[in-house]
Amino acid sequence: MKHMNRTIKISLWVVAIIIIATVGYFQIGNKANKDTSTIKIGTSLPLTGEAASYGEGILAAEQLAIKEINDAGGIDGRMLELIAEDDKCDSTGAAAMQKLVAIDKVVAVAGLLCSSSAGSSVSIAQKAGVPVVMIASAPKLTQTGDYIFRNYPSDNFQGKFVAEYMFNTLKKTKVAVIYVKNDWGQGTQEVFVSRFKELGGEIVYLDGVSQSATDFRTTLTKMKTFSPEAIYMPVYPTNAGPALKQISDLGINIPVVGGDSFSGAEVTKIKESNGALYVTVKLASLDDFQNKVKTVIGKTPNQFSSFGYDEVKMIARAIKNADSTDGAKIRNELAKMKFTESISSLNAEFDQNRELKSADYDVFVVKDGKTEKYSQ
Amino acid sequence: MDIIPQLVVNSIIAGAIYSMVALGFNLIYGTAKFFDLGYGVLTAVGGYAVFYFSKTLGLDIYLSILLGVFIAGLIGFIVEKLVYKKLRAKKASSMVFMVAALGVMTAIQAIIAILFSSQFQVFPKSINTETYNIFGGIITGVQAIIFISGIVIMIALVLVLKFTKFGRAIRAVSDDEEVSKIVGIDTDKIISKVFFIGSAIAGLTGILVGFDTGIEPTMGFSLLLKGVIASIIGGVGNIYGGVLGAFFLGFIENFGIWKISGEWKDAISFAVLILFLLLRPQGIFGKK
Repeated sequence: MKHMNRTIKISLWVVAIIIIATVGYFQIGNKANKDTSTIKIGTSLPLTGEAASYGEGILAAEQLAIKEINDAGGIDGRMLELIAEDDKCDSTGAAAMQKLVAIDKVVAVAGLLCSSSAGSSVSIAQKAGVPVVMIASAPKLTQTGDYIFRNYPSDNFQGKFVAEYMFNTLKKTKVAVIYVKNDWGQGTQEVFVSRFKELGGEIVYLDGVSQSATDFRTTLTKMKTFSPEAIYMPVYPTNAGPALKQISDLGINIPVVGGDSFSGAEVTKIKESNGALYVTVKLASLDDFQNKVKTVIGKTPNQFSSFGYDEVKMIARAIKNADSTDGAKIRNELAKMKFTESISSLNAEFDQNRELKSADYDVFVVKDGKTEKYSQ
Repeated sequence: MDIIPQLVVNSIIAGAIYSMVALGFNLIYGTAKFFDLGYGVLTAVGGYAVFYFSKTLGLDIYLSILLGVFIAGLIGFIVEKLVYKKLRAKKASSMVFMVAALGVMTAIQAIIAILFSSQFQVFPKSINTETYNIFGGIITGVQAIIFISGIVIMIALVLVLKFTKFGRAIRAVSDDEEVSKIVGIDTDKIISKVFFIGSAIAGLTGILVGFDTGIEPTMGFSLLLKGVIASIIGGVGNIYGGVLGAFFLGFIENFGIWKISGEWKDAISFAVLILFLLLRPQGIFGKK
């Protein structure tokens, strides 16, 4: 009986240990392999203020990307959550980024349309080790550090393209430049001016205006006295509307070439914008994508939307490839990514400065409230 | 090409816009005795009302303008009833009034942005598409209307203040609210009416600016700042002073950037403001 008792006791102990070990193993194993918490991705966009119409269209595209990823099961079962902050297209961007990295603890940030916001915010992400993939095009932004990527061509590309286009195609040799005094306007303008002079052209008038300015009469009056043959105007939509109206009021009748900010409805619906030219990054045909944004999210996309969409998809891909939400690992995955299914660029791939390897532009003209490809 | 005629015209256009803001602002300041920072947003109220009636509802443009002016006046009147009147009854300090006015401005601005988005908008139809050439300076029909409106409103205000019973009551309240009450003037009623008139002027300003350039929810603040500078230069609370200050500011701004870059404009206007505050705080005309 005593012997029997001992055998049973030992058996019971063995069974108990096996059960505890098994349950424990699966418990711990579950924790390591089956994390189901959501992964937070941040986006900082102008949702109020001058560039709000752009911000809303980009946000809609990002929401679409998130929805598509989550509908397909997320990243290894973990759902993505998009946290949007309003950067107002000004230095509020710093506060928006601070909130995203410090309070929401996002693993990466997409969006950042305005260079004036990004200028104050990318260093915060860099310091926190949070990778950023952005649109903001002021050249110096990516120099902030190795966590800052851009899947949109920097202004270096645009300024150079416009200079060559105005000189070689439009055959203008004396041009005036009126630019908005912020990182974007300044950046584009500098590249334009140096390239235009290099080609043998002459900048007869150069003036900066503030981002909120709507009265350009005296600036334009001064410009008129230098008899330029064309105007290059990298300004914001809020500036562009009144400026085009005042150009027409003052009887100035020369070609105006704007930046990609001319394509918004705020500019094109103004009667005086008729005939204005603008350059914009060459885009793939996006009818399917645009319809999807409209039907799934219910908002109208714009020419920047596809970039926001790609950014979210690239970040998700990097998280999946890294098999981690660690900032440094995501960064390394982004740096070596060849995102061939990009809808915004032919091939979204970064060079050693975390810029796109190449960029191509199209020239558009505003015609009766609509825009169409321009050919001379 | 001679640049000076156009610079003069540009200065007059800017001065005309500022003078309209200064007129209403001075009227309210003179009577209610506080710096109504919320005043500027009523320009946007007027502008967006016209936008709504003419574009969304498709009403006649002139009818829309009338409605826009009335609605701006009405909103100013309601804000006075709901906020400032109660603060007056509590004998709130001028600091409290100013902060309350800032709150009113931000709230109305946000509501407009929610209703109409913060995009820059233009009216569907212009009231005057002529352009005139004055000694080589070009002025559009709308700008000429702004100029004429400013002058007409100034004369009308002066006449009302001088020759009507209502005007005399306003002046009495403006001189001393307590005494006016004692002699039997319903000061709250007078102040409410002044708010209606002042706000209606702001509304008209916003509408005309809308025809000239366009509207956006935040348009009021920069207009208000320029109107305030004009008032201080001319003499706060002084009807002629505000108008004179406005044109003075228009000329300083536009001739100031004749030889230097346009981005200096705001720096110049505020430097002038500080100079006046330091050297001649009572303005060119003084208080009365």
